[in-house]
Amino acid sequence: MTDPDLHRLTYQLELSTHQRLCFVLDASDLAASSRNKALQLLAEMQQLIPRFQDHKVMFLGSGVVASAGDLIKEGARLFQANDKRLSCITPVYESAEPDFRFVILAVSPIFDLQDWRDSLQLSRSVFVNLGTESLTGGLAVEIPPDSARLTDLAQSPLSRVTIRSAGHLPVSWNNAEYHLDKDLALQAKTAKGFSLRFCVVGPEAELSADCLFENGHKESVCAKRSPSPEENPGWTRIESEQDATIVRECIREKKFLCPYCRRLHPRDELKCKVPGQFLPTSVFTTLSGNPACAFLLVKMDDSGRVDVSRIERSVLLLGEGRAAILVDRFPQITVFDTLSQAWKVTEERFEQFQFVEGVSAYAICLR
Amino acid sequence: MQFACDKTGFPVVTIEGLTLSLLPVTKLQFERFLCEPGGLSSSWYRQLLIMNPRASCRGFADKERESLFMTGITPEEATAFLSWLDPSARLPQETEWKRFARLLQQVPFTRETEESLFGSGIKSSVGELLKRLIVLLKPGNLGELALIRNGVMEWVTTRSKPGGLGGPRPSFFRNTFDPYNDAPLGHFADERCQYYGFRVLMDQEGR
Repeated sequence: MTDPDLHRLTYQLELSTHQRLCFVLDASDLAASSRNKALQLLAEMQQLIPRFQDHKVMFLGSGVVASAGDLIKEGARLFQANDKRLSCITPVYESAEPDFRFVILAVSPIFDLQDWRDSLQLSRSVFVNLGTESLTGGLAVEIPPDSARLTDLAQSPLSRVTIRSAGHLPVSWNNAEYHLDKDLALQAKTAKGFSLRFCVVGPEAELSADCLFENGHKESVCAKRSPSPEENPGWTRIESEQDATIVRECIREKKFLCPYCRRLHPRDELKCKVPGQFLPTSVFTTLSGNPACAFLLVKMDDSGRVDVSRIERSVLLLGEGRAAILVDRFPQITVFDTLSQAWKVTEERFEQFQFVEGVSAYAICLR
Repeated sequence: MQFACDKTGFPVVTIEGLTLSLLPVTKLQFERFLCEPGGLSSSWYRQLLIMNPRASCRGFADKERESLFMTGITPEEATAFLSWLDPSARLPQETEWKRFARLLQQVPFTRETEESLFGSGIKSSVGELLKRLIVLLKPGNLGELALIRNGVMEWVTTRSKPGGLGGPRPSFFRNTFDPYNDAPLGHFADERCQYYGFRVLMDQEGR
């Protein structure tokens, strides 16, 4: 990456299929008369939510996290230990883990909520109004103390995760449930696990994932920056001499002899219409593989030995601000537009055996 | 001159042996104190905000500037905060406050001053607040950023009883005060007044 704006950035996204709830209670003097109401509501939820004790509890004005099980056992003591703390959310949001879903049970307006306007934390908060005044002044959703509705919120599983940023092209990721869509967003639907580590190319930025739950609730989760893992293309020797010969001829920019029609093919014609076959067949016998990979990298050393690396993901970085992507089985070229600071899919055709900077190899696509 | 941070993440500046908070104490700082269990209550704070409502530290408007600061507070309540903040913290004396104000007025607010301020370990929310103030005030010297003028009235101690110094904007408190030369205004000393906030002095001997 020589463009000063483009970097290879790695992120980690931790997502539970079910939401990790953090109940935030109000121990201020203004909420003193509603303590029993809050405990009663949580006791009802305990009956409805499996493994309730695994969820967390915090108090407004404090960054200390306790387990929901502790609250049921010794709620009165916890309230006493936090007695008269101010109804402020900042210590909670600053200390809690980023994937918590906050259920805030309060009676009166949260003093500092406006400091968190448009924040990820606020978008992941539901306010349960135990009193009569607005808690949020319209900044967030408020619901009445209804244990059935709260339980529905808590139990609704994650159904879709999308990571979309116009300026960032995902180039590798470690969870096969995710795929790159035609808008260059990384997406997974109803997966067994949604957590992943992913690498993008783009300017330095914070990235977040849009999460959609089965009950229709949407929220954003911030991805954490992570050290970039070593990229190992995993080269193996091409065992078939017939395939190796075709690759050698193509790298030398020559035509090659097709093993099916016995005629010379140009190097961008890697499929041949074989009599009796409905679809054209790859000229390679061993490279397509099963399952077929999206792209192949091939390289040749001075002795004529030919190695291959299979790229299973549907994107391949070709050089600075330029990549090949596979959309609906067709390879396309995407480039980073410096004016709009965004990756854009072009009309440019994917050229077989194009040189890939950085790995000194050639890219082909057999889809 | 040197910048550092107090335990709320707000900047303090040391200049010629005097260490004071760069700004009058904000609501954001005071809320940290109020978040301690068993102290002044939410209902107390709610009453106080009726006099001077709270402004968000993020993206506040110029007309809301004074709402950032903790005003309407009595010297006794200010002292409770100071004891929590640091064992060496106290209200400045009249002479200390005026000397600090004059010294800051002599420090040009340059790129180096700004870099030194933001390199002092301040919290990100505090950094946002300061950047916004810099945009709104366009300070020529550090005294302008410190709101010696155009801030709030500030409690100082005198030989007799606490009084107020400062030169708030007329839109906040109609006045013709000269913070550098006036005697502390004393007639609000025993009352709660919406224009009165305070600044922290860190006693060098107590540190």
